[in-house]
Parts: sequence; structure tokens; C-alpha cells
Amino acid sequence: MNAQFQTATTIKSGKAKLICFAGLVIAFSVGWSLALVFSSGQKLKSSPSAQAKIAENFPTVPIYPQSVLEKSTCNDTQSMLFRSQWQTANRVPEVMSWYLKALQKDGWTVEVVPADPNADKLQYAELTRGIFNSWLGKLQLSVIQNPDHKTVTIETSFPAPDSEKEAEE
Amino acid sequence: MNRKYILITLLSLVVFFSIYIPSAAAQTTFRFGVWADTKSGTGTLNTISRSMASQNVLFLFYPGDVCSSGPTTDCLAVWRSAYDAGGDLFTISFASRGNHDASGTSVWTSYFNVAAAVTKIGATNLNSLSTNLTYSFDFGNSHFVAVDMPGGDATTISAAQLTWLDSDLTAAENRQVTHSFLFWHGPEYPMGGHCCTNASTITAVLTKHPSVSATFHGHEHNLAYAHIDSTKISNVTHPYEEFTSGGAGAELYACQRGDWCQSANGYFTVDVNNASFTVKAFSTTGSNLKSWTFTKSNDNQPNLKNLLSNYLGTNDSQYFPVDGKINLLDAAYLIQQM
Repeated sequence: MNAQFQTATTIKSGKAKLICFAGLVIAFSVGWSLALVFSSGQKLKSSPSAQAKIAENFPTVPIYPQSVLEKSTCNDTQSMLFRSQWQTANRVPEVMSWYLKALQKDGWTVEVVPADPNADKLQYAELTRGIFNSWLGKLQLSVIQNPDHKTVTIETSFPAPDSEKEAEE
Repeated sequence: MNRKYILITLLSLVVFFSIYIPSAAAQTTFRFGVWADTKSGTGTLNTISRSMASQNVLFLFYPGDVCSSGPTTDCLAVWRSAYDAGGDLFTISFASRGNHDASGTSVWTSYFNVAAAVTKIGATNLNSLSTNLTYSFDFGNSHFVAVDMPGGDATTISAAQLTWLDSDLTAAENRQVTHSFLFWHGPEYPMGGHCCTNASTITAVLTKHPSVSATFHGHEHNLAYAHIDSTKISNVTHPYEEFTSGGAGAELYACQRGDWCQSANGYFTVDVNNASFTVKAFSTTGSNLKSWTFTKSNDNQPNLKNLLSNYLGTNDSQYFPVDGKINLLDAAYLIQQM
């Protein structure tokens, strides 16, 4: 009786070990694949279908790896067409550096560089693409350390083309 | 005997220089000028420059719209020729971009040299978010901030600029400045030409800072004034003054609202006198159109509540004013700074 119980326990224990081992292998594989995707700098493009909360027709811009969308608005003022805010746990200089590289790869030109690329509280850059003052041809990029000192807010905003023309006409 | 004379001469020189050449930090009485929006109106700017030069301003602010289609080297040369018609005003000037300056960022950042102007006028504490675009400094008892605004309207201010402005004003207030004077292209309370969307995101920051005395703008081609309080922009709990000085040559816009507005070319001067400041509006040829004198109350003098509510130092990384808790060690540190 006792021996049978021991055998059954040993079998159950062996099965459990096997399940645990298989689970670990699967978890490791998935984790490794994700790590490879993010470490290679692959961009996750924003699109209305990929991000449930992102504003409709929001322009395609690179998304910082493992960042979380906080809010996204469309035409919230007369002069700002789109804004989106993302949160990440990385540092301000690293986030800004990543964005400047990723955006330039996408054809954006850096017009305004951060005064201090090592500033860890906040950094600001402006970029243009295509014909100057064209529709969605200007991007304002703000990277700001949050008050918790642990997370960072990334804001991408697209100002409307020159609003003065209308007033002059 | 000779040594005695040399010693007396040296002592006299020290006394002379210490009395007659006070540092900018000690100055509480001084004058600066504000003008903006020339575009193709360099003829008018030429006339205004002669008038401005006669005002004996120590320095000038120009919040945007130098040329019509972006700051090209040729256009800047024409503009500067008119700007300096009355004397060397350019090298004591602090410019920031408007929407008509947006296309030539690299030309702008190499043409204007804020650090050189800061040195020339003897200002201190230069702080930049983006070099020669968004920056601040102290002069006398006052803090000066210029914010780059290539989108034109004040609603185009970026999240980084707002955060920077907030922390920059906090730092200035911890240095116990009496006034903060702020400059960017589009007014947060437009009064004519780009009326009437208020930039309440900006006033949400300004209202936290009792040192803010006045903001100055262009964008709207007229001379205008408004006392900004909650009746004008609902989230304002700390009232301040707003001036639009968009009359440096560009075609004029009609006035739509405000406490005073003239669809006229011209400029403003500001006389700072300790806690008071007097703003004067002048026509192109220097006729005084209107004057206002304001005196700051004592609410921005250093006090424990003000310091604690704005404190974001590194003394204790766990301390944040937003959680409503006060760390006694931080309080002691701040009291020590008072």
C-alpha cells in the first residue's frame, strides 16, 4: 500500500517535472524571441488596427519598444492635428536617441536638436519630412521624465500647416 | 610716499567701479524693449528702429516673424539693416521664432547668438531647451524666457516646452526673482487677427508661478493689452498682464477684443523699477500711445509653502510635492535656503 502510494507519487512527480520543464522551454523560447525582436530595434508601426486607442488616421511613426500608449487625440486644437502620448520605463537620453535614429531612417530630417543630448529630465526635438509646411510634414517630439523618476512620457505631435495664411487672406 | 599715492589711487578705483558699475544681478531699475512681426515691412522697421534706439533700452526682445517666407540669409541681411537703422540693436536682441520663421531652422540657429547677447548685456543663468530657440536668463531682479513657436499659435507649444517652462520658472523663483517676463509668438489670449482660441495649457503652467508679471507676443499685427485673470481664461488663479507687440512693420490686423488695442505699427518699452514695472506703447515715430504701471504684491517672495510646493530637488528622491506629504528633512533643507 505504502509502496504503491510511493510509486504513484513518483510518477506524478515525474509528470509534474516534465510539465514544468516543457513550460520553461516554451517560456524561454517566447521570451528569447521577444528579446530578439526588441533588441534588433525593429519598429512597431502605429496603425489604427494595431492600437485600439490610437486616433483614427494618426500618421505612421516608429513606436518605442515596449512603450504603452496613454492617449491619442486628433485635432484637439485648431492648430494641432494629432497628438499621442506613450509611457516607457527607459531613460530620456536613450529614448530620444532611439527616436532620432528611427525617424531619420523613415525619412525625417532633424531640424531642432536637443540642447543637451544627455539631459535626463527632458529633451525636445523637431523634425520635418517632405515639402516644408506640407500636411503632416512637421513632427514635434517631447521626451519627459515623469515625477516618479522611473518612467518617461513620449509625446509626438503634428502641428497644422502655417495657420497665418488663412488670416492673411 | 609713492606707494601711498599708488595705494590711494587703487582704492579710489575700486570704490569708483563698485559704485558706478553695478553688476546686472544688482540692477532693479532698467529698461527693455519689445517688437515683433516685420516680414516685408522693413521700411517701417527702419523708422521704428530710430525711435527705439532713442529709448536707451538695455536689451530687446523680438518674438517672431522676421521674414515672410522663412529666414534666408538674404532676407535676414535686409531685415538687420532696417533693425539696426537707429544703432546697434541686433547684438543686444533676443529673438524667438514665429510661424513665418519656421522653414529656416539651421539659418536661424546660426544667425542668432543668444549666449553672446547674454554676455554682452551682463545677464546670468542662461538656460536652454534648444540652443538659440527656447531659452531663459536672469537680468537684475527679473527672469526672461523666450519660447520657440514655429507653429505660430500658442496652442502649438509642445509638451517638452511646457514642462521646461514650468521647471525653469520654478528654478528662477528659487533664485528669488521679483518678475518673470515671458516671450513667444502667439498670445495665449489672442486679441485680433488670430482670435479667439485661448491656450489654457500654457496658463495652467503660468498660474502656478507668482513671479510671472507679463507675457509679450507678436503674431497679431497690432498693439494690444489684456489683464489676464479667470474672467479671460478660466484656469487662471494668478493674474498677470499680456501684451501683443506685433507692429514692427507687417501689414496690420483689426482688433477683436482685449482691454486696449490699436491696429497700429509701433513697439513697447518696459521700465522695471523694483517690484513695479511700467509698460509704454509707442507709435512708429515714438509718440506715446498709452502707459500702464503695475506693482507686484509680495506673494512671490520666498516662503516655506511656496518653496515646498515647488521643490523638486535631489535631496530625497522619494519626496514629491504631488503626494501631499512633506519630508521633514527636505523642509529643513528648504528652510536653510531661505
